[in-house]
Amino acid sequence: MEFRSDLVKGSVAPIVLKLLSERERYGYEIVKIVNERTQGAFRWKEGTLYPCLHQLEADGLLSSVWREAESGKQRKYYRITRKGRAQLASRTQEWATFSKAVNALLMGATA
Amino acid sequence: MKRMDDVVQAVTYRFRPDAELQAEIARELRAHLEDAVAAARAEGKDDAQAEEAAVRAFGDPDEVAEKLWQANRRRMRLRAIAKWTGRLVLMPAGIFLALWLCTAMLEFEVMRTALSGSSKLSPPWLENLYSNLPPRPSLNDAQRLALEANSSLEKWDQLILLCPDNPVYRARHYIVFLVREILGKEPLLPSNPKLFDRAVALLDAGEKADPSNAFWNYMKADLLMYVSGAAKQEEDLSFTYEGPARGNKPTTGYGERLIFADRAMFERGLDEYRKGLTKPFYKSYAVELNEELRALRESPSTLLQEIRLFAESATVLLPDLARMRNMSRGIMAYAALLIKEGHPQEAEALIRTAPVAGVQLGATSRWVIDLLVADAMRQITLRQGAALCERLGKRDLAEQALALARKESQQEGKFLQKVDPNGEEAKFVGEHAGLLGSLIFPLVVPWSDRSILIDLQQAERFLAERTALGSLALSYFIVVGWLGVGTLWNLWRHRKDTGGPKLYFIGWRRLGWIALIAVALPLAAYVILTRAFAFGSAHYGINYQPARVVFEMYGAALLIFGLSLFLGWRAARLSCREAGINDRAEFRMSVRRSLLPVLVACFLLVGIVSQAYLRYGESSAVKALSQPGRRPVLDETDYVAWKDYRDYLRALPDHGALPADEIRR
Repeated sequence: MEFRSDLVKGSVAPIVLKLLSERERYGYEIVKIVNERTQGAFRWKEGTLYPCLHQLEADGLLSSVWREAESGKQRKYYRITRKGRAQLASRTQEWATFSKAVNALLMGATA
Repeated sequence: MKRMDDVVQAVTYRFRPDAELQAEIARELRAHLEDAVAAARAEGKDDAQAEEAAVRAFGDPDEVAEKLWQANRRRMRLRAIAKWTGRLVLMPAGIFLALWLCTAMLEFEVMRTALSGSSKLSPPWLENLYSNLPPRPSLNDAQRLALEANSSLEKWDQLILLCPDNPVYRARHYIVFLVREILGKEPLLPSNPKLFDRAVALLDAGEKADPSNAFWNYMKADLLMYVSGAAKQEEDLSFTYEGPARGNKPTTGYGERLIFADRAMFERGLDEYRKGLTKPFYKSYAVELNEELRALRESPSTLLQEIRLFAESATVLLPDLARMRNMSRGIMAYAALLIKEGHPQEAEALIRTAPVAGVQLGATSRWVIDLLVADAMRQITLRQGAALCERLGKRDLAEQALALARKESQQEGKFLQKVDPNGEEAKFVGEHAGLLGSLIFPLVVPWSDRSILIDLQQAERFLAERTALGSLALSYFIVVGWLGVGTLWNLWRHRKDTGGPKLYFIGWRRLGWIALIAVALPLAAYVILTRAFAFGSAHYGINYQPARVVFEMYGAALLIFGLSLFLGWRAARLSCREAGINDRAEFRMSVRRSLLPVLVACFLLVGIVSQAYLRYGESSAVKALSQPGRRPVLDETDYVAWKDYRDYLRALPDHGALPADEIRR
């Protein structure tokens, strides 16, 4: 299933922050995990991940470093910053409130 | 793999003004696509299919390009500003600092003399003793002239016209006249009555302005004796006396024999000498003139100016003192002649009063040099006088004179302990004083306070450090310049390459670490080490020489330089490997470009740290040297033994004349 792009847009940043809060990862790894965990339901345009990562880095929510991956190749790893964690917490809270409200409106009416 | 490269190219195209950022983003995206291709291939797709899948999954390159551009715009702008700031500020600042540090090399001449082991600074340096001390504002014409006069007879002539009643100026004027026109021009004077008349006129005018000073009479006596031809003195083999003991060994001295061209002239000189004996004191005002000129200039603020004041105090020409000593010998030789010619009473009168001149000089002295000469005059007149009294049959008087002479010269450490060049003091100076201490040795070093030598040594050490840091700056300057020129040349050579040569900056964090490791640590270690040595030198007598300082500084400089080169090169190589640059030429280029900012940054750090260190060092050295009592003027200085000698001279009855025979009998 392909989601509408405006729906995807708001969710990429919190998802990336969440995945990086577990441990540091490089871009392709993030895509792979998203695909695994959603069993392909979330088919991102993979290229759009990078503007998001760069934006989060520019905002100081992430930091990056080049180092060797398990494959032996150099990869650019992203790591969440303290500021990023705070942002993740507030975004998660925001998402919970938002989805509850949307659920109430979309599902609640028919129930 | 053409399509994959197309995607990367399309996405990063807009970043080409920032080659580094473009390369980094391209690298990240290519890595992603390679991973995606590898994953697709693992699923069983062939190469072409795998690449197509990866590119499709990546999405629309133009859309990604636009979004990436948006996300990185601010970063690009900041990087552009930093880069231009670096170009416009960092490089010129580095070069400016280099030149600034290099000014320390200007003291190189001083240090070169110091290191060559010579005990004398070269004359041009002495000529400019005061030149670095600017005159105070609002001086009048006479004061300005006094500052400029130095050894220029013409200027002193003018000054005398402006201040005819100033005995200090008049005395110096005559001394300059003596040196420039009379001494060393023996045949000139008798045949040049004009010059002779002028000398006499100057002395008469001086006496009129300064009637209680024996200077004018003695200088005239000396002039007349000089003109009489008696200057051609020879040893009188029949006239021996007991000289000052050396160690425990008595020595034998020889009196002089006078040869006259014009005996009447000599006797005129003798009359003038007798007139001088009645005056209360002898002064050539060297100290007073120094003080006056010093007051007309700004206070010294730099170490070199302080050191110059020291050197100056040790190198003032005092030809009048040499003439005074000569005169004493001449008088005694004349007394010997009178005895030979059968005029014992006249001779005795001369012998009795001859020690007075030394007292006139020494009792009002404010300078150790005066006291040294006073002592020499006393020794000559008393010891030769004793020998001549023997000849006259005045045994009592002879014994009395000799006893006095022995007392004054043999009281070890009490009065004037003449410094033995192989003795303990000389050894101490050799080990501790360095150039400056040796220069002023033994005239102005108060032996009761040897810490002045430590202070002088500290001053020298800072001169040495300044020179070494200046040299370090120069080497940095040369290397930075070489790298800069090399980079420009490479840029020009590659100007037609598409995309242009890439600049791979090693990053600020790496740069910071390099600067810290390569610069701050060696410098800090050096400072701690030298402090420890200086402490040891002051407390345990470690021989710490300026030459060693220079070598150490060069060692530290070399370490800093080598470390920064090595770390810069290594960081550049790492950056290139990360960026996937394997091309040798491109790698060399990147190394050169990465080294340049490393060196400039190290340079800035070295400059700032060392300037701060030198400023601190200089101010503490200046402070130590400018302490009150560090000037070679007796009244202000703790020359205990010398002061004792002066007080002793002051307390002598009858100006130190030997008592008349009648009174004793």
